[in-house]
Amino acid sequence: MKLYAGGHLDFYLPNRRSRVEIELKAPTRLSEVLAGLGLPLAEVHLTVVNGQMVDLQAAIVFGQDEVKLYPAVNGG
Amino acid sequence: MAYGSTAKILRVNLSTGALEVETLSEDFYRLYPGGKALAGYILLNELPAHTEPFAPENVLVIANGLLTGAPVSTATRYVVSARSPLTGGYGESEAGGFWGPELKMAGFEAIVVKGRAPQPVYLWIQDGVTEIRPAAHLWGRTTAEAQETIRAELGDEKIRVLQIGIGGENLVRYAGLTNDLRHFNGRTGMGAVMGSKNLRAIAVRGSLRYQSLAHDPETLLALGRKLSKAVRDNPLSWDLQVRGTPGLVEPLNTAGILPTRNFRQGAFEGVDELKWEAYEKQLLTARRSCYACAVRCKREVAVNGQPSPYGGPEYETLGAFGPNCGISDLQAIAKANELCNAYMLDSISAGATIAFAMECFEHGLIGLEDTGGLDLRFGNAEAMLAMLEKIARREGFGNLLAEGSKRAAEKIGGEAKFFTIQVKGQELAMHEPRGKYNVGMGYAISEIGADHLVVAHDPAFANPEAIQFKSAAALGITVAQPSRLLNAEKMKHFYILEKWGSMEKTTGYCFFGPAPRSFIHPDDVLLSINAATGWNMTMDDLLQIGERGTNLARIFNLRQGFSRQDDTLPERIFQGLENGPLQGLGLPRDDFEQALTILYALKGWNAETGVPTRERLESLALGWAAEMLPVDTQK
Repeated sequence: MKLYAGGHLDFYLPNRRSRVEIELKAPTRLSEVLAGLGLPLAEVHLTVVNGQMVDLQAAIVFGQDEVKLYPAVNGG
Repeated sequence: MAYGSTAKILRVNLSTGALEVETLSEDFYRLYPGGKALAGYILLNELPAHTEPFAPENVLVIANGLLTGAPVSTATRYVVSARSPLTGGYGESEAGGFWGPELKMAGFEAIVVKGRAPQPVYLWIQDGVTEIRPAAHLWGRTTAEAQETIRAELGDEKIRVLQIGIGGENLVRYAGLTNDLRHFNGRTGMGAVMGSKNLRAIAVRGSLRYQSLAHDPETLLALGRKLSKAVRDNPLSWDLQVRGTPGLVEPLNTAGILPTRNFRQGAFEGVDELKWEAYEKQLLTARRSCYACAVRCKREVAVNGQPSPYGGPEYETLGAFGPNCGISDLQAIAKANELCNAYMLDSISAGATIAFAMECFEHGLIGLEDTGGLDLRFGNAEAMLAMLEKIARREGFGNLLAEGSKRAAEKIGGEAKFFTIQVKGQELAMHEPRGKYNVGMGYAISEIGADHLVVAHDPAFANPEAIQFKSAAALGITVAQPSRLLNAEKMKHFYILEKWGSMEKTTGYCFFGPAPRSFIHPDDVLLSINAATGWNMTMDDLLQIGERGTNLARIFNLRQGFSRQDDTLPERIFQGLENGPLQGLGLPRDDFEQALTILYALKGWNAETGVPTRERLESLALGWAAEMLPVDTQK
């Protein structure tokens, strides 16, 4: 799966890189994948899988799925 | 005793050439410790109601916060305040950079400018010595040319220059000020007021050090060092350092709250051309900082391959000239940013006013004969840039748009009034209130007209486990609430966050310093102020400083005839968005009105009139200001 962590979410990923590829051996709950990466689920405000906005808790990902995550962004 | 202040105000009368220094008492400064609160106090006491904004009698106040120049990241700001030519009410705009700290090093907390010089002039302040110098040779020049000329003739490259551009000279009602060409007092037309006084610039140089003014310089320095290291250990300030505000474009578009085509839409099909990766690849050349700030959120850019002296476009500028004008040409938007900064126009109001004109054009309310042949349709970047030039020079149709979208709509007539997206005459910033209801409340109730820096934005307070929400507990925000909801708890959020934001504008902190928006915990904000002053203040004291500032500005507006009816939103915001995840959804009008009543009650304001009660004013040590309310509102 290809993961893009938008906004400040890349802070939590290895080497603070915003794009990560993860090999999944079976369909997996996205929340479990993120927990494994150490990305706090509370910081994820929007979840987009293959271009569709989805519920993070319900999302299951696999193979070449493209996942984009965005935090709650403030102003400025 | 040292309390973080030089206690000196420079008073300038440009009509007579008189220069005087006023010394403030510590007791006074404790109530009005700089910035917004000091400006509000001076304007209420010295500016008669209904003074015309461009009359010599208008009073221009430029005021540092008490911490401005302290060795603490993000404590760099000063406010510029006067009666606004855009709104007719209280005008105010803050900026960071280096000028505010340099003014403090030169010996002054604030400058109060009255009168009008017979010829263009600039002020030169060096370590307490002040001179009024001729500026006819600077009139009509770009801000970069003027800064270079001033530094050359005074023989010091380190002089900090605060100035207007030709926008202010030509009284464009949303002209601003810039310092160091990269930091902007954009909002409410303060540059036009300065231009009306024939004052082109204020150059400063000083050798004081803040630490010599601080009560406990060791604690302040230790805190400053701790915070400098903390910047990269907090995801919010880390993001500001890496991407800065341009990083907002993509997340806001995904959420469907990226203002597009004059706020008709919330998602923009051309967003890929404008998101951070494109900015980094096409524009970015370096990152820069304000004085003593480790966040380093400012961008340096090249425009069309040429290094720009003006800094890179912030999110607001990207939004205003980009999606809100239907434009996805990043180089053209960066060019618009350069033009705004070379001529010193507020990029929010300039972009939003052009977007308004584009909608009028597409509806046939104006045509090629009006625009001087410019095909002013959404998406036409060339026409946008050409119109920006005309606005700064007040040429042709630009002369009308230089009045701002509200006045332009009155002149154009018909449906144009529905296309002007403003509150109290000031255009909305590039944050969609239909997705962030408290931002909408901020647009409605702000004393300066619609602005985005009234409260921290709603999404930060939607998840009780998120870091922004948790950091707000120290302020008393303990119950998470959805962004798209207006209820009593949300109004409690608003009431607290507005006071906190006003405190920042008074003490000199940037919106990108303190939590919940960024990385400085409220307890450390309190520590910094007590270390500077020795006043042993509490968190409630800080919030009261903020509340005092908003009430001073409120009374200023009530004197000008503003009322509850002015605390509203453009009709479009109550209608549904045309596209994106929030398609069809508007901000519920009844919920808004009920929430406004709840908020008035929290603020101690009369539910019908929006007038502060005498009891609330007295609790804020503002009993004297109650006497300034119009007689028919004193209930």
